[in-house]
Amino acid sequence: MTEEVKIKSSIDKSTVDGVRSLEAEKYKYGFDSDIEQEFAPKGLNEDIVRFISAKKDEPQWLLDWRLEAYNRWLHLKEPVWANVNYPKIDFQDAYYYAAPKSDDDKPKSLDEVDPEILAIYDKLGISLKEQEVLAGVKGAPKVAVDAVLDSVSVVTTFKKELAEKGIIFCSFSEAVKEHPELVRKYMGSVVPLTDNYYATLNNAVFSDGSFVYIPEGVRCPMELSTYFRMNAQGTGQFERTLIIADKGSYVSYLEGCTAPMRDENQLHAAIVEIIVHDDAEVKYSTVQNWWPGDSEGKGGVYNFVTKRADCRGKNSKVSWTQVETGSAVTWKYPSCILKGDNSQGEFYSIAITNGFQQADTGTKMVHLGKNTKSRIISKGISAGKSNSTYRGLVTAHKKAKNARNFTQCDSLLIGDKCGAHTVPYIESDSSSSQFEHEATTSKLSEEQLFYCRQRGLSEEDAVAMLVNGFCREVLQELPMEFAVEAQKLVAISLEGSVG
Amino acid sequence: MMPTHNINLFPTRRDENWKYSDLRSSLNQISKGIESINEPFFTLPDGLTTEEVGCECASLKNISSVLAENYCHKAWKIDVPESFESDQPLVISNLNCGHSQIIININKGGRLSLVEYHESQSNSFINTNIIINIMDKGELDRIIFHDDTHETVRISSAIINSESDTRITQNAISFGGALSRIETIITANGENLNATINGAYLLSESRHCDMTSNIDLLKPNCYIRQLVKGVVKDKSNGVFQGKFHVHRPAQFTDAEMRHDALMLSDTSKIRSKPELEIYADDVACAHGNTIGQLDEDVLFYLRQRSIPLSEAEAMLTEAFVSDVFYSLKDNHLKENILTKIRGRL
Repeated sequence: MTEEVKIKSSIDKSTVDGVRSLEAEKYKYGFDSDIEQEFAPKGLNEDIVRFISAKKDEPQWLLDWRLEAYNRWLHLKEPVWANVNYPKIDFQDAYYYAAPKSDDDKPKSLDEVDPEILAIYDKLGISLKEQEVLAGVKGAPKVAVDAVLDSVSVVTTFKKELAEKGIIFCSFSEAVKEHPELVRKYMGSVVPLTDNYYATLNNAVFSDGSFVYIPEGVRCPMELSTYFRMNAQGTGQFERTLIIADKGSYVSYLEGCTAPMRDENQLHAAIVEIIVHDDAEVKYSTVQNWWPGDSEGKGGVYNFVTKRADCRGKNSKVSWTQVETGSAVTWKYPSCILKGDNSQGEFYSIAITNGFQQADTGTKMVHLGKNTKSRIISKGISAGKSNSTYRGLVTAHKKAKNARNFTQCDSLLIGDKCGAHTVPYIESDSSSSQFEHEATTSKLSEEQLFYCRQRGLSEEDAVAMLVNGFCREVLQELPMEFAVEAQKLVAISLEGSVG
Repeated sequence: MMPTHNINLFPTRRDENWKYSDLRSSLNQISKGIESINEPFFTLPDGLTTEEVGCECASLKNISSVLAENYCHKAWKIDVPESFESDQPLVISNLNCGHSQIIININKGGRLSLVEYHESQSNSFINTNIIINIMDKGELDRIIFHDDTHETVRISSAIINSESDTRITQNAISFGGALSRIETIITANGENLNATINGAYLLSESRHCDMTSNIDLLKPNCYIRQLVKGVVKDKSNGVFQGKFHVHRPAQFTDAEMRHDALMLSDTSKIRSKPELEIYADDVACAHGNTIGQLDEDVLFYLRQRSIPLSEAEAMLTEAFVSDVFYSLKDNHLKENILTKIRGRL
């Protein structure tokens, strides 16, 4: 029996019941797709690592990499310092490889992809129809997509068109074969092999992900996107993304992810490494909508991710924008290492938790070079019985002359059963640094709500508008396509919380 | 000199709460005090007395209590009667070597002004654990003077439990030591707590000061203001860890925390962690943290008027820090603090 959630404004009981009944159904991506897949044997041991490597036909150096990571992982202890609680993970109770059955693993052209797989992405609203764009069909979005299903990339669109500009956009597995020198040079240079427990695990069993290389002076003509879809039951997803922006280049990259509704928890432990050279810029946007677990807190994805950008070059810039609405447990800190002089790091985040979701997320900005700048805008909205923590680190090395940081982290609590927390760490060894941090935790203003309702808006619309206003600074950083999707997501997430 | 046993009681930087103050390593240079008892000296206002009692901190978990429990088997207790009032403060001094435990009970409606001198002239270890229980409508005004040698290691901890309709003001001024930890743990068990918790640290040479506070709000309608300002120069190290924990029933909390630090040298360090843990939705909580330098334009303005650079810096630094004690009602004590600050600049 669900207990009454006390909310400050007066609301009809029938509204509360009606909205509550939407909770489990609101997740429209929770469908299951019955496609033939092949699996590695269940469990995790050295043989599984070798199996994955063999399946991908990897060179010896990469197998050695995986094995070293696996052996080191065996000696590491799972960290427990985050403000999240979850049952101990049985790492033997999962499949570490699952792929649609096919004759070979070579990425296919769109025409050769199993129509059933295409149908999944259609249902998710992810357009893979490059023909429409090339033919100038009105309304067709110009976004190149790398579609990853469980452990493999099933197709990457617009590869040829991008290659004409010297841009490499392909699956990670393909990059290992076609561009090994680039992969070897950069892989692990931002997130070292044993950086943390889940990164080390990823290094052992990583499945697939995207590889992007933008050559010198090139501005990528379209947005690049990877869409991660978990499908098979009982699997973990360990994707690996590597983005390299050479001197003077620019790319805007989008990442989307969803998973079916399942009773058990699935682990998603990814690594994203970004390297930015002189005068280059990378914009990385994520709309994370993994299955958050049902209204009783059962099931849901564990999203334990290591994302880090190395602003190596002078005047380099990385901007992380994320809208996190899914996952049972989110544990991630997209970070920037500001090595190059005048480099800039930005982090814009909205994290919405509902039901029994838990999030411990934030960012790290490490100021090393001279005249580096960072900006952090983080908004957390907690509702239901969820808990959301912002955890951030801003640090300046003593040689980081004139380091500048501005941080704003705000939290909104909807209802009286949730929690919102902020744990910022600010460490300065540079006497010329200027760091500013502010935060508030507040309830939606009664007066603001009354003003909106007086002008004919329903309570839900008023809250959505106020929250959108609250989140405006973050949403306007998202690329246009995502901004629209994110606005819808925010409205959906709120529906279940305003009684 | 390390303790002969129970070394594990002393935290290291691997303990999250002591991450910026590695107590165990700092003991290497200490020659005395780790395993001895400190006898504090009390200057009592008329009407108050002290009583030696057994140590009562078994249930408390902060390091200071654990150490006091382990090394010091007695405590000094002072009971402030109901509706007690006095012009004279209760002064505690001679906190200069070893462990001591002090318990102060402020009974209903009682008002106490408490002044503490945490000062040592040697490379001693001092641990002072003060437990203050404030009953309904009780009031506490607390001033902490902290000034050690650059070789002294000190923990000064206060655990304050308050009931309803109480008022607490705290003003702390610290000039640091080899390692100093000024810790304030407040638990508001009742409604309507009005608390102003201010502090300032001015550090030079290779001194360290860690001002850590944890305020637990369990009931509604509490009003909290915290302002801590710090100045670090030479190779000194300033630390601020603040936490507001607003429990679910603590609706209508109005709490603000702020830490501002001035860095005056290339080899100084600031570490800050202003934390909020909120479970109540109808509250207004804010925290702010800034790190910066003296304003170049203002410095130029003063120098242009023939004020030498060092004097100009001293003036601005004094203005920056003194701001913390602006609302201190006791003018004599305020002037005392400002004089000490000026003496260091």
